[in-house]
Amino acid sequence: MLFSGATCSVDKQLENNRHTRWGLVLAVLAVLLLYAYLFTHIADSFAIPRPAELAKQIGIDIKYVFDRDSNVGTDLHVIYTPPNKRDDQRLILFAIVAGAFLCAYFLPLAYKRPSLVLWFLVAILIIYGIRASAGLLFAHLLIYLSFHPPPLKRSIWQGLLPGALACLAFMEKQASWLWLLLLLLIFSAISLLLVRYLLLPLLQHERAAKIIRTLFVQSALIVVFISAIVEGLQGQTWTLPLGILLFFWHWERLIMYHVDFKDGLVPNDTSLPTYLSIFFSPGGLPNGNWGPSIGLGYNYTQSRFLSVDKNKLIVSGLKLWGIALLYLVFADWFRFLIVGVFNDTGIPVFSGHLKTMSCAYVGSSDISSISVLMTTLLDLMRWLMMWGAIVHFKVGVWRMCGYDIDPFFNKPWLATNLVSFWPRFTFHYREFLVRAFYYPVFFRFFKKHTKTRVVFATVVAVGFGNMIWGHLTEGMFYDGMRFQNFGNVLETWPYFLFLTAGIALTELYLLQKKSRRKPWTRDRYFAMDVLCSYLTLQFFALIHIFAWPCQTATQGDNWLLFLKAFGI
Amino acid sequence: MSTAADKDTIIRDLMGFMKTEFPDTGIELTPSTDLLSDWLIDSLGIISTTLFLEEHFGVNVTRADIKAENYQTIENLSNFICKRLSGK
Repeated sequence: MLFSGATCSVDKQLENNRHTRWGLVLAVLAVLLLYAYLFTHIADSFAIPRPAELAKQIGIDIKYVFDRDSNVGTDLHVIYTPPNKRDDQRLILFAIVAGAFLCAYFLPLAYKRPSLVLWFLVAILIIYGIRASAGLLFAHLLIYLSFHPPPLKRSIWQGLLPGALACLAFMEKQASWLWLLLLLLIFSAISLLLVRYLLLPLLQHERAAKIIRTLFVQSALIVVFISAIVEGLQGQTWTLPLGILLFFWHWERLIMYHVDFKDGLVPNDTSLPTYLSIFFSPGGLPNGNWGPSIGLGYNYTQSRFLSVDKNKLIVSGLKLWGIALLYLVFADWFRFLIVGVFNDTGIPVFSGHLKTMSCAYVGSSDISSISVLMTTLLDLMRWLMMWGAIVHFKVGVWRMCGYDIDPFFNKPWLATNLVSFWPRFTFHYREFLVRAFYYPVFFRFFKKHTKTRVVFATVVAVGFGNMIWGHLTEGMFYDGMRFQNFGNVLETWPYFLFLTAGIALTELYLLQKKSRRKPWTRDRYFAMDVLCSYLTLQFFALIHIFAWPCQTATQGDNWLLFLKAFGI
Repeated sequence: MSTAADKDTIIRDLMGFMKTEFPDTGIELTPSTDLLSDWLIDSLGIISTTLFLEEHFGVNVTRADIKAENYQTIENLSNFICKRLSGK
C-alpha cells in the first residue's frame, strides 16, 4: 500500500535476508544471459549462432521476431543512446543488473542499497559519460540540500560539491586539464559561497524554504514553459545538458518525494546516500522514460526494501521477466497474426496502426466503422504488449534488487470499467496523479457536495495534472523544447476531455452502485463482464485518435474519424 | 450516526462497508486485518473509505488524517472515528 507510513524495520529486513538459495541466483543469471543472447550481439563473442540463425537451424520459421542483425528486435533499451549502439548499451544494462542483483543478494544489509547507488552511477558513467553523470548528481545534490540543509558548520563539502559537479557537467569537451582544474576551483569556491551565504540562510526561513523546494522540484515544468516561450518568441531552441534531462525524468518521483516531505514522512536528517538510494536504483536504467514514476517517492521506496523475503521477491521478479520476454519476442508475431485474420475477412486494419489509419483517412480513404474500431483496438493491443513488456522488466529489476515494488502493469484487459483500468494499466503513474493532484483537491473543495467533489478532483488529476505534468513535459523531453511541440500536446485536449469525463462518470456510478459481486465470477453476469471489458478497452483505444493522429490531420479530421466509429 | 455510537457499532459498520466495497479479497477480515497491505489495494480505496466515514459517521476527514495510524486496521479506523465523534 502506498502510504503505509511505517518503514520496514531492520529486524524484519534481516529476517527477510537470511536464506541463500543458489538455484534462484543461477536462475536470475541464466535469464539475464538469455536476455543478452536474444537482444544483443553476445552470440558473436562466444562464436555461437545468432538467435535468427539458431531458429533457422532447428527449423523454427517465425515472422516479425528477428531484426536485420539476426537477433530479436526490441523496444527494451537505454534512453538517449544512438539506435546503432543499442545492442551494446543493452549488454551493459544486463551486466549492471546482474552485478546489482548479486550485491543486493549477498552483501550485508548495510551495504546493499549503497551498492545499488554505485551500480547505477557506474552504469550512467559508462553509458553517458562523466558530464551527464555530473549533471545528474549536481541537480540531485541541489534538491538534497534544499530538503535536508546541513548545519552551517558542516556545510563545506556540500557547498563545494555542487560547483565542482556543475563545472564537470557544463565544461567544454576539449578543455585542457589545467584549465579544468582552475575552473573546478573557481566553480567550487563560488558554489561554497552561494550555498553558505545564500541558500542555507534562505532555507532557515520557512516560507523561503518552501518556495525554493517547490522551484527546484518543479524545475522541469518551469524550464519546459520558459523554453517553449523563448523558442516561440526568438526561434532559439534550448538544448538541455544530458544530465539535466536525465534528472528531469525523475521529476514525478521528485514530486512524490516532496509530497512525502510535506506529509512528514521524510526524516529531516536523511543522509545523502539514503536520498540517492531513492532515485539511483538500477530499476530506473532500462527505458528511463517509460513508467518513470515506478518507485515513487521516499516513503514507498523506503518501506518496500526487503519488506518480504528476498527469495520470494526474486521468484516474483523472474515471473515478471518471463512475461516480459514473451511480450518482447512474440508481440509483433501475435499482432500480425490477428491483422492477417482481419485482412482475410476483408476488414482493413492498417497493420493495427492508428496513425496509419489516420493518415489514410486524411488521404481521403473511406473507412468503415468496424475498421476504426478494430484498428484502434489492435493499436491499443500493440502498445499494451510493448508497454507491459518494458514495465514488467523494470519492476522485475527493482525486485531483483530487493524492493517489493507493485506491478506497474497488471492485465488491464481484465478491467471492467475505466476506474479499474487505470491502476491495471499504469499503477504508479495513477498513484502519482492521485496523491499529487486528486487528494489535495478532494480534501479541500466541495466537501459538502460529494458528486461535485469527486468530479472536480478527477478533472484536476486526470485532465489538468495528467496533461500538464505528464504529457506536456514528456512531449517536450522527447521532441525538444519548441513551442510547436508545446502546441502539439495542447491540441490533444479532446483525449483528456474524454478520459476525464469517462473516469469521472465511472467514479460516480461506482459510488452509487452497491454490489458485492466480484468481476469475472462465473455466474450469469459473466457475459456482462466480457462486454464491459471490451467497452472499456474500446473506449480507451478510440480516444487515442486525438492523442496520436497523423501529422497532417486537422482537429476536424480527428473528430470525423472518431465519429466514424459510431457510424456517423 | 449519533456521537453516542459505541465502538462495537462502528466496527460492525466498518466491517460491513469493507466487505461490500472490496469483495472477495481472499483474506478474512477482522478488526486487526492490515487494510493497507491486504485490503484497500490503492489510493482510490482510501477515497471511497473516506467518503463512507464522512457520510455514514458524519466525521470531517482532512488530508492530514490520511495516514497509516488511522487507516491501518478497522480497529485504528474506529479509534479515529471515536476520537472525532468525541470532539478530540
